[in-house]
Amino acid sequence: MVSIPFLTKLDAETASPPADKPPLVLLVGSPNVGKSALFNKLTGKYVTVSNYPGTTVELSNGHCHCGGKRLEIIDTPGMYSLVPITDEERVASDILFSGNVRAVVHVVDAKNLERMLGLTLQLIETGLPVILAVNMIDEARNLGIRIDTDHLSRELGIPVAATSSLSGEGVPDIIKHLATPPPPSMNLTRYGTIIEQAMMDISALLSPASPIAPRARAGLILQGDLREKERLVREKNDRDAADILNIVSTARDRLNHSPHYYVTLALRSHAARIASNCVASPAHKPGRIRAFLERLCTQPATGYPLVAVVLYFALYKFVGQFGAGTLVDLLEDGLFQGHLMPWMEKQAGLIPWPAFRDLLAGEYGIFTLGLRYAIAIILPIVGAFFLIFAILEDSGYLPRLALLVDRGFKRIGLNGRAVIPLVLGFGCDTMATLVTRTLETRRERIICTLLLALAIPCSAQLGVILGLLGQHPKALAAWAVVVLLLLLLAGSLAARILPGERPLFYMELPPLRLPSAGNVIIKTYTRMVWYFQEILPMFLLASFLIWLGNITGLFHLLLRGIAPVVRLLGLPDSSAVAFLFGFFRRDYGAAGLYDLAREGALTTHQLTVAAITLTLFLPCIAQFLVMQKERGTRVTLWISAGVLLTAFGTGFLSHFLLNLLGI
Amino acid sequence: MECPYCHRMFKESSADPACKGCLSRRGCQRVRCPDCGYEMPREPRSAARIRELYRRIFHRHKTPPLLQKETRHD
Repeated sequence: MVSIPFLTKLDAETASPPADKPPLVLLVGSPNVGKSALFNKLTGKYVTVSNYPGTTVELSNGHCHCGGKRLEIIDTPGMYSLVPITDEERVASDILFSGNVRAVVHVVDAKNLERMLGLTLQLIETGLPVILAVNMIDEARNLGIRIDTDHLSRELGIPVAATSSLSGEGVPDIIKHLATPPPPSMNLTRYGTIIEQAMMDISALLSPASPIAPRARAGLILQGDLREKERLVREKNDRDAADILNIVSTARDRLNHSPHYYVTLALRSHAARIASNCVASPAHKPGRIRAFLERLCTQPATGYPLVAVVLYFALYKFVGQFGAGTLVDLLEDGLFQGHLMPWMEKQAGLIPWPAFRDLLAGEYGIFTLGLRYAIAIILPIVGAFFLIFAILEDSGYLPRLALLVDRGFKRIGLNGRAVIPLVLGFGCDTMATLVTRTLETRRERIICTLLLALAIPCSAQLGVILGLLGQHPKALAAWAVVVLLLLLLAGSLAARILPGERPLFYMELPPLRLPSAGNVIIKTYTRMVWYFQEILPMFLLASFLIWLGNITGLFHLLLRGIAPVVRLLGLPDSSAVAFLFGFFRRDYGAAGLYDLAREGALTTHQLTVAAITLTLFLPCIAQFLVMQKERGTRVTLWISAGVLLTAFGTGFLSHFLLNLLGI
Repeated sequence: MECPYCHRMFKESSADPACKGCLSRRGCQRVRCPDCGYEMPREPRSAARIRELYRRIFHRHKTPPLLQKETRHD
């Protein structure tokens, strides 16, 4: 493989490339369908890899000879739909619409044919010559899936080849079809009267000389594809562009949902109809019990009580009481305080230099603070959480939770998709902030980042709070109500302030299943290893920095700065330590709170106020940096300022109200 | 490997494009599902021993789906 910038001359917006350029054959399809392996089979060894101009998206191109003609083959980035969301999809769609395309080979996974046919139908609509490569056919056969490719070809009106990019099966068929590209198929999906009429009206105003069929362009404009709108404004005069956008707006007004929703539904239903005629899979009819459980999880009347049951048993009883109570007692009191700490202090006493003695076993020493927090307090809590989380993941419950909360989430400017980062936030808010980039719009990403920073405690924080407040049900209820109310309030306020559309949410639900013990063990083990590799060093580093701050006096200076604020909340000065630790790491702050509570430094009232304020408190340094990277400095500073004010404001109000209520 | 969220099978290498531009890309121990965007820690090498132990104790004749070795295409 060589690496040279081959595509710098390819102007994606130009419909007529140089005449001497060989015709393009594009390999398109979702990620992980074997496109690259098929590309290698078609092109051989000599492949060029370069970035698409102006992006970091990599493209591979090569050549193949077909019927005496030299064809340029491009392995496009993975795409799920012609309406692009990611950079990869934008690049793939740009290349598709660049002109000079001799044929498009849509590579699909034979094991998931039905869900991939939607893109085939969209490609057919573009009017480009499409060849369908039903790839990984060997794996599908092994799973007992039978695909009638002749029937599929007749249904779609395009050539279909069953291929295996590993064995090379079917590759000669693809080459044969490339030699004589097929005529455009007439098997078009129908989207209903309103959308069809709008597409016809828009098509009449579009230039017929476009590289793709006007009907397909009309469909993309109607679905709100911004790139297509840009192209439209560039090529049409203001009046025509305004007329087209007017048709779009009228159609949107006449529909209950966005056109994108209806188009997607129609494509899925068309794909399902075709697949049912051509694919024979081993029977997997859900049993009656499974069907009942499906309804139980997703119907609001039963789904929300089920969420409450899951939260009670999984989080409160298992993580809070067993993890943060029983296990922490065993490790902290039994192992660390009973055996390891006295031994370590004795060993450290042999060190003649007081500063180094403190570094190991002093008040803020690596062993007495960092290692003890990480292993005796946080590890049992996150371990219990990882186990429960693995069971929920493996059962297939989480996607159903996303479906259940979708409607409620729309009120706070999000949709069911946001369950992924929010649920991951219970593991680690920093990691979850990175995952917000998978949300569709900038508005959703900002709202989700805000909620993660404000009201989603990490598992360690949650476990410590559940463990400490678990003995005082009223205090625990007060904490839960305040945090939940603030989550809803902040979300709905942000949804009102931030302009933008509400994207729709649909996802394919994996089947519900009984969690496999093997899967749960491997997932829990993997997360525990991750904890030791990534989190433990952070704890040690934090305790080293605190030790450094302690011997330089900076730590006490910061504590003195925070002390007046915590006094306003009715908390003792000693609780400032937990807030300072919390800014290093949320879980470190939680461990600090645990220590204070165990020392008897806080009353139940103070513990509740501290728990509320610490839950809502500023994100830790790592999360702050990731927020800055993902959302930019301005948004991060706004969010941080808002979170800081809300945390202390709510803490102060809670102190006042809880006093009034006598909690 | 199997995505814990959407339960689709994918190869670890195909998850990389979703991570482009990430702050912690170097030495990152996490994998992101190319289908749904769910993130999970990368399976450590020692998991193979756990897998083997599990297979010996509970599944002498068959291997659970997640525990199967990857044989996917690039």
